[in-house]
Order: sequence, then C-alpha cells, then structure tokens
Amino acid sequence: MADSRGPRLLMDLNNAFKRDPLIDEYDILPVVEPKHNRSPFILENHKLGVEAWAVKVLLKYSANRLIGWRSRSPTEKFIDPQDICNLSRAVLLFNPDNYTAWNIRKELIDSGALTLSDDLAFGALVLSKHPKSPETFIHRRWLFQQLLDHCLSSSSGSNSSCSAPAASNEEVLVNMEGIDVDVGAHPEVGIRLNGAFALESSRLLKSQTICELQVCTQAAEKYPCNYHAWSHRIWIIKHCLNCSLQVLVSELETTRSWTSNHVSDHSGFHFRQFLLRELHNKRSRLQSSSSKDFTSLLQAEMDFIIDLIYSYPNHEAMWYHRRFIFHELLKLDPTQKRTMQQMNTTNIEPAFNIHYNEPLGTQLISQEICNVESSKKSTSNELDQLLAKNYVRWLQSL
Amino acid sequence: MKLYSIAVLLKTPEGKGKILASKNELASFGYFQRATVNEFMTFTSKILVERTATSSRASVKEQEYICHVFVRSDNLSGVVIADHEYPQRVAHTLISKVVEEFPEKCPKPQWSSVVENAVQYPELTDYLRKYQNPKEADAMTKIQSELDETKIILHNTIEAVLERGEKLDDLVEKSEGLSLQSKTFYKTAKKTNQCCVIL
Amino acid sequence: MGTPVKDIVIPSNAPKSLMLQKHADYIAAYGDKKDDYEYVMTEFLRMNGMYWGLTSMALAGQLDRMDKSEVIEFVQSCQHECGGFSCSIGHDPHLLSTLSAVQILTLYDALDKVDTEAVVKWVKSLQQADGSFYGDKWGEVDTRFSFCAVACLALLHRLEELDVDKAVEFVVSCMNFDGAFGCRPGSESHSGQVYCCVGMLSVTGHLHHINADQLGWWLCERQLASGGLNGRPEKLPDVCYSWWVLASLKIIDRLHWVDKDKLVQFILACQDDETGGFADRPGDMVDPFHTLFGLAALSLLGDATIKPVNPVLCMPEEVIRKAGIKLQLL
Repeated sequence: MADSRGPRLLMDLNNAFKRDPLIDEYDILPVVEPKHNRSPFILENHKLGVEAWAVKVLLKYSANRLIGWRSRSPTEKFIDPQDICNLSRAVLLFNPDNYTAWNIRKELIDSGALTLSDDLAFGALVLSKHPKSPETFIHRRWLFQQLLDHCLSSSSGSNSSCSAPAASNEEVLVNMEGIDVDVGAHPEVGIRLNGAFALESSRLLKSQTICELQVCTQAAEKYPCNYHAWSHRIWIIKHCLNCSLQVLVSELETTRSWTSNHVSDHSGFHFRQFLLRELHNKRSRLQSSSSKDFTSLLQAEMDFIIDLIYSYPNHEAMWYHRRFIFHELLKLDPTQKRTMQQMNTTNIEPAFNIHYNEPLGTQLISQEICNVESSKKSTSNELDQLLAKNYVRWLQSL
Repeated sequence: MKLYSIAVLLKTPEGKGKILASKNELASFGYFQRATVNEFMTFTSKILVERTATSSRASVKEQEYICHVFVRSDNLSGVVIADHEYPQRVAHTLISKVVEEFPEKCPKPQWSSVVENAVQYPELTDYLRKYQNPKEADAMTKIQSELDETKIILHNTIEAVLERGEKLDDLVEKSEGLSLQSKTFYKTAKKTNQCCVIL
Repeated sequence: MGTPVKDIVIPSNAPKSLMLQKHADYIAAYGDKKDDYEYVMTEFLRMNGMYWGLTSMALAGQLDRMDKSEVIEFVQSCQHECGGFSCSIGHDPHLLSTLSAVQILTLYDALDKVDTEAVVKWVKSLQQADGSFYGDKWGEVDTRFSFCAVACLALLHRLEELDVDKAVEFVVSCMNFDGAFGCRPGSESHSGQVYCCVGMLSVTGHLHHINADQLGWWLCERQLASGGLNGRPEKLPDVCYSWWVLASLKIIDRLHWVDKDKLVQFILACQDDETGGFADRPGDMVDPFHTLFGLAALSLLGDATIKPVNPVLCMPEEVIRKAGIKLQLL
C-alpha cells in the first residue's frame, strides 16, 4: 500500500535543503509516532533532524519511486532530472549503500543535471552520519576520477607535449600549507594553454582534494579503525596527489599527532606505513631535496612507537606498527644498517654485546629482542607481556 | 583517546548519588544527541556512585565507553567517563586530584545542603581540556606510584554493577533525570549489527 | 589490569549446543516476516541475501523447503542485457550480485536457465590491463572483485577466458609485509580481503605465492581470549570472521593453529535460542549473513550434523564435487 504521506515528506525534505543549503549534519530523532501539528523535520544551526517514523515513510516512498523509474515501470515514464536528484538524495541520506542510487547520480552528472562539487558536498554530508559507508566512498572516488579526467583531457587536448611525466614536475610544485595537487601535467602550463575550462578543473581538483583529506579525517574520527576512510585517503594521495614527496612528508607530519591520540587505531598506523613505503621508494630524492635521510626517518618512527607503547600499554595496533618498522629497518642496505646500529648502541645495556661476526640482520634481530626483553621486566601487565611475547616470537620467525 | 565527563558527587547517607559539580564534553557527539548524552552521563555517574562501596575504586565498561569511579572514605566521590583508549591510571589519577581539591571549593559541612550540581568549580573545564592529552597533563609518570591499579575493580557492563534483581531497563524507566526523549532513545537504540558486508 | 581488552565475555546463559532446526526454520520464514521498510533498506543486498539463506538451508540439508522456481525466476529477472546480475529488480548489475546469482544457480543445478555466455562476456569485460577487475562499469577496483570474477568463471567452467596470470599478478601486488592482503596495493590487511585473495589464488591454482606460515600466523593472531576471531587488530570478535579467517586457514592448511574448542564455544554463543539464527556477537540481533557464516564455520570445525562446506566457494562440498570444479588447497 502506498503511503500518502510520502510525497509531502519528500517536499518537506527538499524545502529544508532549499531553506538551508549549508546543512552539514543530520540525524534521526527517536520519535516513533507522528505527533499532531508538529513537523517531523527540525532545522537549526545547519543541522537537520528527522523523526524516525518519517524516515521510514520517506525512504519507502522515495526508494520505490526511484527504483521503479529505473526499472522503467509504466507508471514512472518520465521524471524531471531535478526530481530524480531529490529522490536519490532522500534515499541515500538514510540508505547510503544503495549503490544504484549513487549510479543514478553519476548519470545525472554525466548529463549535466548535477555538478561534481554539489555531489561531493552531498557525499560529505552522508559521511557525517554514516562515516564508514563503503558505497559513499566508492562514489567519491568516481567523482574524483571525473575531476582528474577533466584536468588531463583539457591540458593534453591542445598540446599533448605539455603532459610531461608527473615526477619531473613534482619539485616545481608550490607548497600550499604543505599540500599541493599535481594533476599529472604541470597545472600552470595547462591553465595557460587551455583557458577557462582547464583553469576551473584544476582549481576545483586542488581545492576539493584538500577538503577530501579533511573529510577522511572526520570519518576516521567518527568511526575508529575506519578501513574505508583510510584506504580512500591512500587512493587520494596516490591518484590526486601523485604521491608527491611534499605531500608524503606533510602527511607523515600531520598524522603523527593523530595516531598518538588514537593508539588502538591500526588503520591510522597503517596509513603511516603506506607513507613510509612510498618515501622509501623516493628516498634518493628525499635526501637531495630536503636533506632528510630515510633511515633516520624510520629510526624516528621506531622511537616514536616505542615511546607510545610504553606510555599506553596494552595496544596490539602499536605492536603491529613496530613489526612493520623493524621489518623495513631490516630491509635497508648494509651501509644504512650500520648507521642505524650505531645510533642504537647508545641505548642498549652493555651486557648485550653485539657480535660482529654475525650477519647484520641477525644482530639487529637479537638486539631488538634484548630491547623488548629488558623493558618487559618493568611491566606486570598480563596483556602487555603477551603482546611483547608475540612480538619476540615474530622477530624469531624472521 | 577521549575524556567525556568529570563529576564530583556525594554518596549520601541514604546511599544516593548527588552531583556536586560536573563538566561534560559533548562536541564529539551528534548535535541532536547531545542533550540525551548529557542526561545519560549524569544518570550513569549517579548509578555507579550508588553501587560502589565506600573506599573503593572501579572501572566499568559500557559499549565503547569506560566509566571510572572512586568513592572516598568520607563518601566524596568522583566519576570520569572516557573511551577505551584512555589510560585507566590517568583517569583514576584525575579523579583523585579532583576529589582532593574539591573541599577547597565547597567545604564538607555544605555537601549535603548545596543544590544539586551548583558548586562553582570552573577548573573542571580546564582539566577536561588538558587531560584530553594525558602526556601534556603530565600525569603519566608523576603519580604512577601513588595508585595501586590492582585494587581497581573491573566490570564488563553496567549491568554487572547492579544489585541482585535490579535491571538497567527499569532504572532508566524510573529515572527522573532522564527526559522522555532520552528514554525513547534508549529503547530504540537496540543493538543492530553494523557489520562488515564483504560479499 | 590496565586498559580492558577489546573483546567480549560470553554470558553464562549463552547457548552451548547447535540448534540447527531452529536456524533452518528462521531462514525458511525470513522472507515472510519482514516489513517493507526493512525490505527497502536491505534491497541492495537481496541477491547476496538469497545466497546466504539458500546456502544455509543446503548446509542444513533442507534446501527442498525453499521455493526453487520462485528463486530461479527472481534470479532470471535480475540478469541485465550486458550479462551481469543486479541485487534486485530495477537495480544495476554488479560483480558482487553476479557471483551470488551464479552460486544460487549452481546450488540448484540450473545454470542453463540464464544466458551464461553473456555472463562470461561481461565478467571478462571488467578485467583491466593491470589484471584487476572493476566491480561494474563505473570503475571501482578491489581484490573482492578479483575473487568474484574468477569464482564466477570457475563455476561456469570458463576460467581460461580471463587473463589469469595478470589477475594473479594484481592480487599478489596487494600482499603486505605481514603476509596478509588488502583491497588495493598498499591498503591495510583485512581478514575479509585475505579470504578473497587466498580464495582467488586457490581458484586459479596459484597458492604458491602465499607464505603460508607468515599468513597463518597473522590469521591466528585474530583469535581473542573469548575464542572469537576478529578481522583486524583491536577489533571486536565477530562470527563472520570465524568464516573469513577459518576458511583462509583451511585453504593454506593451517586450521589446526587456532583453538578450535574455544572458537566453537564462541560461535555457539552467538545463536539466538528463541528466534534461531546467529548474530555477530552473543546477545545481538541475528541475520542471514551471520547465520550462514556461523554454520559454515562450524562445518569447517568438524560439526557432523552440518554438511561439509567448501572453504573457497562457501557452498556444500557435494555441490562443488558434482559440478566438477577443482580448487587448489595447500
């Protein structure tokens, strides 16, 4: 049975967004029965509240109409694109993993009925309520791919010789609070040659990419160990920021305090592992451009995690991070390892002598085991003892 | 890691929890949920003080939160609500500090007569801010030895703290401090499986 | 004690024995009792949901209670011109729902009821130059889709249509230093993705790429004191990970590395003794997703009242054997 309240509620929702286009948060209010003479929508301070009973009616009505239209049911022959846009909004606010509704919005963008920036803003709103919705992140990657395609096609369209490989341009990038967008070709060249369209796409990509990192941080904050938020951030760094050296360094800097405040969030630590691996790939350029060497960066990460492990005991996530760093330290070539070893000898007890006849890797492993064993004595905590024991067993398996 | 609430309470001779001063940090909650969260923090703080024996400490898990409680020998009590990551030792250290300092703000003879939650204790706001980062609060190393962590009783749920025959649902229903909206919220917030949809 | 461990405590009154008949009754009645709001909310999972329910029934030996012709008609009506299947009528085709559709048809030995040639063509069209697969025409890449693609074509006996070497190369590029896998190169290790990648390498016969000891180690560290398994470090245990982790361990021959008794105890505790069905954790609401993975995990753990399950395709072994599908196990 069709609920006659549906169309009215959809209209009210649309009006709410018309009245305040800057709605940045929404929620379902625990009101299960309609109350006489009271609207189920509350709009204050750019926050939208919808009563629970109304959400049910609204979603049923909107989804049935939208999907009915999609399957070309005879009663839904033509709906105005703006109405399709509104219907999909009503569906996705409360059912964000309805991938078909997101696909419908992709088609609206292709046909020009919806803009990329409006849809990015809408997705960010959905994430404020559903911070780990996989389909919302998938749709955003598609949106960013469109932005990238626009930039690339407009910059290579008139003069393809300008699309030099990204790497050679990277050093030229201007640091904009540590983050800049490399669109593959040098953006300034693209702007000069292709006029307004390229300028607009490139600016849009730049500003949206910077916002996107913020969107990821907010989603990670709202939902711990947010796999989708952090793997999306990696995608953005790779595809929209080309893993540029400046971005990697600045991300390593900014996520340091985040991880030390979220010590059980393995996804956050894994993101740093991604950054460190990319920096490893670019270590020679890191050295020449910033005089930072990769080995000391890794060593600093080891010091950072050891300090955190002993400040906040009982967290497996940090012990896993320590495994990664140690694994990377082991991979370094022998000359780099030697430096590391010299740095390390200062803080190990004299009783543990380094056996220079052993291969360097084996020495590092036994040294690390000694480090763990000696600090293990200071904790009486059962779980922490277990985590340390597992780490040592892992070291022994190397 | 996050600290959500600090409260100083009195466990009255009748065994009731009375809030003397409190401060909650609600910014990380949804705009429309803040009023409810605020009420529930007060409600929970009282329940815990009422069911914790004099001269003892406890830490109680409730979903993603942990409530730390200390009832001193003179029944002046403190509750800190934090998340899972927040170090238990620091939370209890903060409670001790606040309970120690409180009589300067409001001397003991007034505890039973003052109006609920009316004692001026502006420093609570500072503590709630400063202790968000335990390292900056300098509580990590200094007070380590003063607190015997093995004496803190751990409970896995609030239900585990309740007396025989008591039910959380009934306590919520009977509570005068919870609004109708909060009670409805509690009832509708049945646990649903927001799980990994992989295939 | 310091910070409490992220784990659960099994309540003393939690179920301790398998209530197979209750689960079959729960699944058999699942379709009827849903209100239309819930139906709309879960429609994007309808095809997968059918696969979960039907496979649960098959593992319980009660598939004949389900309306076969109704199911097949639904699956048929979800096939699109391109060849792919959507999750429900009016929705768009996707690899996730296409694998579920092919699994359902295999379960019923009814692959001849749809245009399989079109399925092959469509799946093939989703493979990219680097070997990865799109989930649909819009271009999202994920190792889950690599598994779906090869599993589909293996069930259709047409695996050779794909560039298998390239597909394997992509999956292997998603392996991390811990031996586990993520959704894309450089992504965090995740038990669900591990299952997809290990399954993909099993279907294609490339399990030699795996360091079984290293991966087995990581997988076994997912077991918590409660006996349950989680999907990543410091996450709560969940019945569905009993499947993702356990099936992966079975494929790489390291099943004996977990504490089976404790795991069985955890899974049994997630049953609802009133309604039937399994939840993610003791005391939570049950659903068909967790019901299938609870039953399948118990089957892998040797419960003889449940039919033996195939660890790669999560379908009854007898169905896989009858279909003549060969899968590599270590």
